Amino acid sequence: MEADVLVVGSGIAGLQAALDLADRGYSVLVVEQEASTGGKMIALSKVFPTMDCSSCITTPRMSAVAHHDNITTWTYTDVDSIAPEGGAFSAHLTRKVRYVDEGLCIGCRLCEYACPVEVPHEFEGNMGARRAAYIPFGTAIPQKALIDIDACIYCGKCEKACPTDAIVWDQEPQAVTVAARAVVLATGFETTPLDAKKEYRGGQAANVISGLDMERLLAPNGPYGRVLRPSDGKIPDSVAYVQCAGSRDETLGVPYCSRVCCMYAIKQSMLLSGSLPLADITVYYMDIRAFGKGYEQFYQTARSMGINFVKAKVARIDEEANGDLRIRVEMIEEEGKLAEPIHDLVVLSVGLRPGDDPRRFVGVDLDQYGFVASPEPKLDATLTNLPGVVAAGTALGPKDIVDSIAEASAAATRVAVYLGPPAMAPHPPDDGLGVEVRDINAGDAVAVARPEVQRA
Amino acid sequence: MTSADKPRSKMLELKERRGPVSAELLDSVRQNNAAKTAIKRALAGGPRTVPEIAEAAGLSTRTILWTITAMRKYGAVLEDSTDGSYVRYALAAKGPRV
Repeated sequence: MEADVLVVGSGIAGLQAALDLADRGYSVLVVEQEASTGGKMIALSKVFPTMDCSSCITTPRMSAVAHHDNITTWTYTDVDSIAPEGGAFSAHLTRKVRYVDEGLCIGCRLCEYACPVEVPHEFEGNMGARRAAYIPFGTAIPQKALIDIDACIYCGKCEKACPTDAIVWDQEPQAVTVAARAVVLATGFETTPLDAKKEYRGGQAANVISGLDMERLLAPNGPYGRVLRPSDGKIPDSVAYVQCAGSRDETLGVPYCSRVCCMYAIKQSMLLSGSLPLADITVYYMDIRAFGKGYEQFYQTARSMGINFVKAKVARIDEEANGDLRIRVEMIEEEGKLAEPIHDLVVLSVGLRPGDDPRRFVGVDLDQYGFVASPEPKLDATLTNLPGVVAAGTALGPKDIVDSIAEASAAATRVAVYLGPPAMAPHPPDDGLGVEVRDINAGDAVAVARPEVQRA
Repeated sequence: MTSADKPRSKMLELKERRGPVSAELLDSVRQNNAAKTAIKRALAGGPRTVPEIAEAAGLSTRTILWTITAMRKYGAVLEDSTDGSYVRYALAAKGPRV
């Protein structure tokens, strides 16, 4: 398998970089460790400050990548190593085992309906369920099932239900070597763990949730179909946000500002006041960092909607017997007065940290926090210390969606400059067989004759 | 044809290779099934809220909500109406899809 560019990660930054490069005629291979493309953004409800539906923006890009003549996408694939080799790169990848033939699976979900095992669904912050045989989520691309073999009880019901005999029990992980001339690292972020600050009871008290959990509660296709608190399904009357609950905190090794928490808390507050018109919403903050275009106005709009912004530091959260949460706060204003308000549901604005350690597979320099470090952080932010390897999005540091997309386009331009002009006609990645792997859904299981591709 | 002559199922070969299903997993499946049965029994008399079902079933509200969420996703339960701060759930009229 050969491609001009290997893009690692298919969140919004990876998708954008892949599309920009493919549109310029380069052949691109996108690899994604999860079973669907879309990264974190596909799980969000709406995006600030425009309040666009997040999946309405993300799915067209996921789809465009899946159907682009110059892009091959391999989901559920791990990157083991990327080594420089004769002016290019040799990447060793492992295509993980779905126990489902992607070429045969038609995404009908009959295996999922037949499966008797239900486990917490990671995509829903574990608030909802999925089955051992499942499609990752409703808007997943590809719409292909997989079997979580650790949750399988070998009842065989999925196999009986499958109308295309797509279940493959003897599938083995497939090691693949790919030659690429350039690499884009778009490995994204994870959040600081919900239980990082023990005094906030995250991970213990059911009604202490993360900002990403609230995104799922607010999403129309979320686990409950509405905003309920996880302990007992109560429609919350009083919701609190605790800002900087995982960033700007030396004790967690995250002294930096995560840059998005103020804005997502404000956005969620506004959405909550729409879905729960009678609820009191309080944001406990150190200071509001509304730095982008239109962001300060967004914040002021939230204030005018009646959302209660309280400049205070939260010292401790205790769970009451009925699941309510007593928050001990020290006001930063009002002469440091102490208060102990009670809320139904508490959202911790957890911070952003690196999603992966790219040094596991490629020798790029990282900064002291584990984000990819550019040798020219001001003038050429997407560069790495390795010629031919660039990075984009939150792999380089915390940033919002707008900045991630702009940076991905910048990274794509850097790659184009590095590679020089592509072959005159756009060409799909060459798998060495003289055939093109066109269908993301089929992986390389289905090969079709390469069509003539001409520029308009 | 005796069982020894039957072709080995690929699934059973995989199970053999990976070892027996853990007791924890089997236990969680049993508990989930028991919770579903209890919910169906509680809802047989009409729509109920999560705390009402929990009281009838003798299970925690958290377990009932999680199980109801799964049943709703897979078509066995529907939202009926709201009762103050809680949602009333009902059995789906046509029964579960599965």
